Amino acid sequence: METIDLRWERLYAEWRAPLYRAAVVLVGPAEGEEVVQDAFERGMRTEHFFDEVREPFPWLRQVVVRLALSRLRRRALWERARLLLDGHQASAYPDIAWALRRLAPTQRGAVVLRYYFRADYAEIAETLGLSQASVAKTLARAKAALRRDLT
Amino acid sequence: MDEDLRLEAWVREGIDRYPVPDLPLRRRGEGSGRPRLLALLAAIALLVGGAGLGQALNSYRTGVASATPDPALAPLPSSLDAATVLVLVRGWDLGRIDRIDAKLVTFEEYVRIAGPVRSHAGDPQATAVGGFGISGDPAKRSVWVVAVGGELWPYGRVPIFYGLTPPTSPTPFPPYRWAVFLVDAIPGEILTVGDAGTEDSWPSAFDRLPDHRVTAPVRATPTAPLAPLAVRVDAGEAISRTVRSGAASSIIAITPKLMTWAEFSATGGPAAHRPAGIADDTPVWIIAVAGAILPQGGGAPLAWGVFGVDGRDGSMQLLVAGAGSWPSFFDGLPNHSAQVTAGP
Repeated sequence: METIDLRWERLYAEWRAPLYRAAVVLVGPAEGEEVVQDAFERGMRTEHFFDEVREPFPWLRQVVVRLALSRLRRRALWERARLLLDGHQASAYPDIAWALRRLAPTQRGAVVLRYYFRADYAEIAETLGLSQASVAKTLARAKAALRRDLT
Repeated sequence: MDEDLRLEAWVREGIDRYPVPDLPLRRRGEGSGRPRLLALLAAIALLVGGAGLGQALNSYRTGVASATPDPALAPLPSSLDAATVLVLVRGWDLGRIDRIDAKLVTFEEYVRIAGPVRSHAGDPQATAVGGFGISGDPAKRSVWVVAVGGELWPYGRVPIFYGLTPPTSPTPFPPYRWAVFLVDAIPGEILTVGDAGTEDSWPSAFDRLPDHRVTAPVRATPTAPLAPLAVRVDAGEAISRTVRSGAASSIIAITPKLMTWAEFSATGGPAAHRPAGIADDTPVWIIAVAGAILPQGGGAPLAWGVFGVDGRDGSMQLLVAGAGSWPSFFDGLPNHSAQVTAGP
């Protein structure tokens, strides 16, 4: 029978890449790795995790987005200052990260959950602490901003 | 639709371009350094503090609640302890925090002692946001009440948000000197700003609240997502129509659920009130309201009411009202997500 540690190793190998990429576009590469490791650590600290969580990946992506947004909100002032400094100049990151960084933290989280993880509105609402109607509005605003960057 | 697909593809491909470094899974206890730093700071606080100073440090700096749970009160379920709740609230961009504390209560206790949610209190220029909703029995819903004193800058005033990127122009109003936040104890998420004020420096109602102990952590049980229903009236509009109808003279909780009339009838609820001639698959917002509901035929107000708001045209009617704290059948009703099309 597979040990708990082996199950975590297998989960990590299977899902780290998408979780890491999502975390990086939300909080940047410096903190992205830490967010993913924190999410796994939170899972490993949970007693009977595999009994209670039947689908670990949705659980992990929810925790990753929440942890990332929590960090984003803490540094909102720094983010604003950095945006002013960056202006519209080309970024060292791919365009998507530059575009996402211009969104409010909640909008970033909604976009990553919806378009990258293909989460439904109910999961997005639960993750972000919004009503489903607010999720629709948040996504609409985020899309309008992203469209401006696409064109 | 094409544009949406293009956007989705752009986001997916953009994110998938990121290289993923080859790093091992961090094992339990290895830590990132921050917990060790926090432990060191806590140790220093213990060393420098006597009993009084220690309590002040607890309440004002390190984020440990100074409120003491009453052992005579029944414990309440929560997935967070007091210290974690304070860390959560401190994580939002509130402004300058001089003092912070937390108590665990039921939503019913909060409303009875502190009054209804008044997120615009202290700002006469703000517009009232109306009732605030929770699902389930208010007497069974445990919430952390977090009081914060200092200089607090909200994101906006109608309604108030904290923790988002502030607007480009500063708010024309003065900062609040205190605020009360309600955190849902089971999922550990903020429910709402309970109250805020520009007078005094601390919410006096907080000191009158009881403080329950925490039972063993409870995990929220997610429900299987239901297929979305197409509506022209979203949840906000349905709530707004219910509030504006004047059928409730006061509201302490209001919660919407979206379903079809057939689903509503199938639960064994008060289906007799379903309007005649409406198709089974018509979407309807079922809105539960706790407060003071004015019966249509006159008489004394009732403690709760359940309204139906047509998901297509927004027409509203009171379906049933009763005594007691909450319509228990409402908790068993299904709840679909809404796919909002053009407005009514």
